[in-house]
Amino acid sequence: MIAVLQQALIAGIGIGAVYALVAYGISIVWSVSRTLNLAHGDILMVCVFISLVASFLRVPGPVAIAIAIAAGAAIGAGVNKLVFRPLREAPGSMAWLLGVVIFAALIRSVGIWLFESRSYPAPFTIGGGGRIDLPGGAVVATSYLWLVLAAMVLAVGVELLMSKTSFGLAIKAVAHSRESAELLGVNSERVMTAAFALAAALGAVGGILIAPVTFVSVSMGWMLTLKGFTAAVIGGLGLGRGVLLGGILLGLMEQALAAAELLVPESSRVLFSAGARDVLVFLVLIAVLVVRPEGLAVSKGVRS
Amino acid sequence: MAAAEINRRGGLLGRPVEIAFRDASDRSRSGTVVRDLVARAHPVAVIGTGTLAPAASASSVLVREKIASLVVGDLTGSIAKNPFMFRMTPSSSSVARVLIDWIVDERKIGRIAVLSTADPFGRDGASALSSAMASKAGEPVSRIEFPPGTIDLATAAQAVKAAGPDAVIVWAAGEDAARATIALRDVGVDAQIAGPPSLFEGSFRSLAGTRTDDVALVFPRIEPPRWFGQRMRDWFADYNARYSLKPLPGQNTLVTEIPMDALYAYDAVMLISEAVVKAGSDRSDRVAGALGNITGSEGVLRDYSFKGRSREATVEADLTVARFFNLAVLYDAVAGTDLDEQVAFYKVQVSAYFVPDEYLDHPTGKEVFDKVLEDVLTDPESVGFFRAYQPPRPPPGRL
Repeated sequence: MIAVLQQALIAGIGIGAVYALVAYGISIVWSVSRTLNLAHGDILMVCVFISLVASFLRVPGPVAIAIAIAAGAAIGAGVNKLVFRPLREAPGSMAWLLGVVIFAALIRSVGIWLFESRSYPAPFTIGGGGRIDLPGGAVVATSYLWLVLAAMVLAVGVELLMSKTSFGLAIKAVAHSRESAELLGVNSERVMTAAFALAAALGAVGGILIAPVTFVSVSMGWMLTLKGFTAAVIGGLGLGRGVLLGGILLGLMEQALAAAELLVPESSRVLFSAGARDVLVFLVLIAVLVVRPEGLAVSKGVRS
Repeated sequence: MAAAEINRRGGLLGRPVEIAFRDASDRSRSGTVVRDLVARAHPVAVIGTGTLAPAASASSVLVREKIASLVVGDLTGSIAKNPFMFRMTPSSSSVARVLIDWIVDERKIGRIAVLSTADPFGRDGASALSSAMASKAGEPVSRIEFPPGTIDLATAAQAVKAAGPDAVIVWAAGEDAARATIALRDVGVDAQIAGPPSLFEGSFRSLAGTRTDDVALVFPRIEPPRWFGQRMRDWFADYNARYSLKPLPGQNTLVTEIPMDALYAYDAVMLISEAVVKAGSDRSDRVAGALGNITGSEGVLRDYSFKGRSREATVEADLTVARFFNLAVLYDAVAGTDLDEQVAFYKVQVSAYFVPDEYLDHPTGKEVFDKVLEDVLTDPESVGFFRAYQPPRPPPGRL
């Protein structure tokens, strides 16, 4: 039993770190543009496939990863310029939502056309695929350690970027009030484009790190979008560290329920079955939205 | 491919054969899709429908219209009550019995765990295993379901490990089976892993890699010489020209991803054409009747008989247990097999020797292919992905 609980804890933190990396991207875009990039996961998926294709072409691993991240930034910037910006200005306040949904569907369709609906093994395993055996019996894959480390480093990095750099201050200014920022001489469109690029690059990092666990497939993007969005809402859609907390909490919640299903008597397992777990997670999400809509990690009265 | 072959020979009853395709991947719409197919295409027979609801609604349409349906790749459920349904691939109950017999009688293992997907495929398999185990091995020491698509199965694998099994049956397909196998090996489960024929799908090996070593699977009994026979080679050449054969993706190997569903589908069309000729008619009810009387029909993959077998072309006697080694499939998991033949069979798979010359599209492909073949057969140490043949590992706890 201890090994199962230990394993659930490790898996929860590891997977949660990935959710957090995805959630950062969604949060940053939301903060500066007040739009939800529902294609975020699909852009991440494209970046992972770029790294896969690069590996097929015998490009060295670090170079392939750098290309994928750079491609993510470029795609993110392009999405803002070509999809979000025109639709933000289009008549009808929700035109951007329709546009991004269509864009996401287009990416997936092209992905299936090129790579079919199958899964591929990840081209790289950060950490070498090793494992560490814990005293209680659980096993920690070194790739998970890298995941958590990356999430924490990026969390600190994003926090420093936002608080210590002029770029970060510009993002905060645009997030607070686009009009006021413009009056102060901030080019809000340029800031938004850079924010989209940063968000997509963060997503690419998350995708590459999680690929050894999820495998590489066209469907990985949409799943991660949903999880990232849920994590962002739980932690607080914004530019703070709440996103990391939200991701970890979501990962732990999922794994705790999975472990509960394994440990309770078989007659009670229906309470923790996969369907019941999804219901419970969404109930928690609704509860957070009702009780603390700003998110668990954001102080009340502070607008995210 | 099959239709083209038949039409080259003059068609059926003087008319060309046409294949009408419909996408029935959304099972909830399968009844609608099949009704549309029947109304517009007036098929002689249908290939591919499943047995479990809601796909069953598609079957009821075909029964009403007296159209035979050949099930390919769907192990689930019983076809006994549907007089117009024929199954080419083995049923889950046959697979489960063969698997349990092998684990208990051949490997002398009594502590068995079951790890299956929480979907109709997994649940049908788990149910079949329970029935098969009831008289031979009692209850499994652990029975765990997981939702298809679960990212991390380490927690479930720990729960399996805690039960201390000597064999774990993974009743899943494709990436679910791969994740389960990876998780079991990564948490240190040193048990015999085994599963249904779905493990032969290329995605299982391409995703789990050499963690599939010594994983056993129920497989149709196809003797190695048949894999190298002229008919199979010609079929692969034709398939490669049309659709391209490739090694298992993502792995450093020449082991080819064999399109088993395509082989079965091709043989299915040929069986239907044989039934049409025997019936002397393209009336679907007469074709169905003729199908039911087929015995010893020689297909590309294997021989098929429906007569006297409750319309199941593959029964227990047609099945054996194979295993994976270095991504190749071998029949040496059962005592009494010719080991020299299996070693040769192994070398041919990892060198892709049996695949025709057109296999490699690259201009110098033939040159590379010959060089690799020469190295594999004469100096295997020089080939990075080649490992010398190793016999199956003994069961856990035994020398």
